[in-house]
Amino acid sequence: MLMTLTVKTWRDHWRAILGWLLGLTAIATVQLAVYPSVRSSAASTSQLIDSLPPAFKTMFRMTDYTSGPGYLGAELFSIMFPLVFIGLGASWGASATSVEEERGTADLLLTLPVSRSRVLLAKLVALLTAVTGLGAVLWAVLLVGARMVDLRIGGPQLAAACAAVILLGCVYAGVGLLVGAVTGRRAVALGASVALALAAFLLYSLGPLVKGLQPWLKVTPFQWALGNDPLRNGLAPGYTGLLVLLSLMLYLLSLVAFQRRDIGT
Amino acid sequence: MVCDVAIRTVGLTKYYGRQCGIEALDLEVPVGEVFGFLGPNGAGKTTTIRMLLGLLHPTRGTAQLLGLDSERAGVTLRRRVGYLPGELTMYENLRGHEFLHFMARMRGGVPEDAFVKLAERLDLDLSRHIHDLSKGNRQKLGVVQAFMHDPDLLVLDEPTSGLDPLVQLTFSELVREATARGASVFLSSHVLAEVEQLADRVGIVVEGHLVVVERISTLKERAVRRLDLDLGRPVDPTVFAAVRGVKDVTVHGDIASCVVTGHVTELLREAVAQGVLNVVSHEPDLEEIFLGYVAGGVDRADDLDRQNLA
Repeated sequence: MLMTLTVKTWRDHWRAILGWLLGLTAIATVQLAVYPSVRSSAASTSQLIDSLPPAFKTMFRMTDYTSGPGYLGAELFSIMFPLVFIGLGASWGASATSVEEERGTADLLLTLPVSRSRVLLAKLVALLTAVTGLGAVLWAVLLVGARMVDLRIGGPQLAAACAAVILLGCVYAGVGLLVGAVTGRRAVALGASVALALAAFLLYSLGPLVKGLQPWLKVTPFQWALGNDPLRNGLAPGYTGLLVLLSLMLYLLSLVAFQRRDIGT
Repeated sequence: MVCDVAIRTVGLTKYYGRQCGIEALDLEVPVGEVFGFLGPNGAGKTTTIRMLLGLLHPTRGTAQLLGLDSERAGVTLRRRVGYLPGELTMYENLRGHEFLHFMARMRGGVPEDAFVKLAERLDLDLSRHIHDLSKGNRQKLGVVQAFMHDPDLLVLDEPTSGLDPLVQLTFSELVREATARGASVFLSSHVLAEVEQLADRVGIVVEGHLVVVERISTLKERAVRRLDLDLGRPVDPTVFAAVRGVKDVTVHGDIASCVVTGHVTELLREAVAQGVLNVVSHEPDLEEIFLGYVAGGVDRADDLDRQNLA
């Protein structure tokens, strides 16, 4: 029964999943295709990068731009992919239960002989597998593509970077899920999770530049996921654990909130 | 477990927002009965039903269905319940049979036969997308999913809205077949006509309070309805005012209007004698029935006490 609902949820989202699959593949392909020319003009590119204001370089983590990890980090893994995965997680999490409520289909779904926890779990499983699947495809595309354009990057390090953005997606999926389960409103849930993600992102981007913000860097999930520079050093076990723990806590709270909720019309 | 009570609520109360909800509902529906739950829109019927099914949590009080607590035994209980929501929304992107397959699988497997047969009886095309279905056909699909697993208790909120009279007959058959195999039915509606053919007893709820529980036959005897008689000519109102059970007679042109309590036999006899051409009967208003009840000399509190003892 859990599987039935999970499969249905995939089916309901197949267009979005396919769209993102193609989109992410395209972005990765284009970025990789440009890499050989970046590398061949390494000297002039380095000069250009050197001439950028230091604040800008720090903000976008542009160190060692022409190396494999440096290039992928600056172009894809510092802003683009984290925000895409957070957007995916937040929007799917926010709509998991709230859309059923807002459309009114929750009335029939939740009066079936299935507990609310199982309904929420089925939707969560669909969401997490979709986000993880997209991350895995992205990893495979980048791995193969990197070999083709001779971009030097370690397989495990690339996997770690993909895992980091997947985990970010999972955290903000949890925020969306929780607010959706508490309020039953998709717009509120999406707004709340996106707002929190943007706040964390700003903190992460500006943290290295502003002295007063630096202690706060430690509390942003961005720092936990990306602070260790996974493309070079892999994941930091402690902070990764923190991301997993935070996600699980959010999921658990969502279960409790959804159980208590009065399903309105 | 043998249990002879299909629904029992004790002090069931729900307050929420600005809506009135329902207050201190004590209700008992024995197994095998068709119970009509009547009240004007917004009286608290749907709130009550949503609590019975565990969609809403009661502010106070308890509800037991088939001997199981609606809050605690949700899953076991809902396996034996069929529910047709008042505002029926289904997955628009699915076809009829896809939707029913989904519901069947979520119920742990209902044979395809069961819902295909029901759909045939209701003359419903299952190959069409739900977003292409008319209101009547959607309602049929709702009826199919409520009946397909032969539930022990059917909770139906305004079940025949949108169904044409022929389909309503099939629906009535389905309800009778269900009670014949021992199922109980809880029928909610804001019009007496929708439940009077089927219900054994009805409860009327007004502004969140259950005001009357009565056998349908008794209720109809006391029901107050407005009739317009087209006599083709102006008549003296006193002719009808003298008939037993008739009051408030007014004449406008050729039309005599009056209010009748209970059966209309004697009024019609007089009308025929006066050469009546046409009769228009207005659906009795539930609040009027209730008011008629109070005015009819039945003490409301007394009546409720009797209900509680029964």
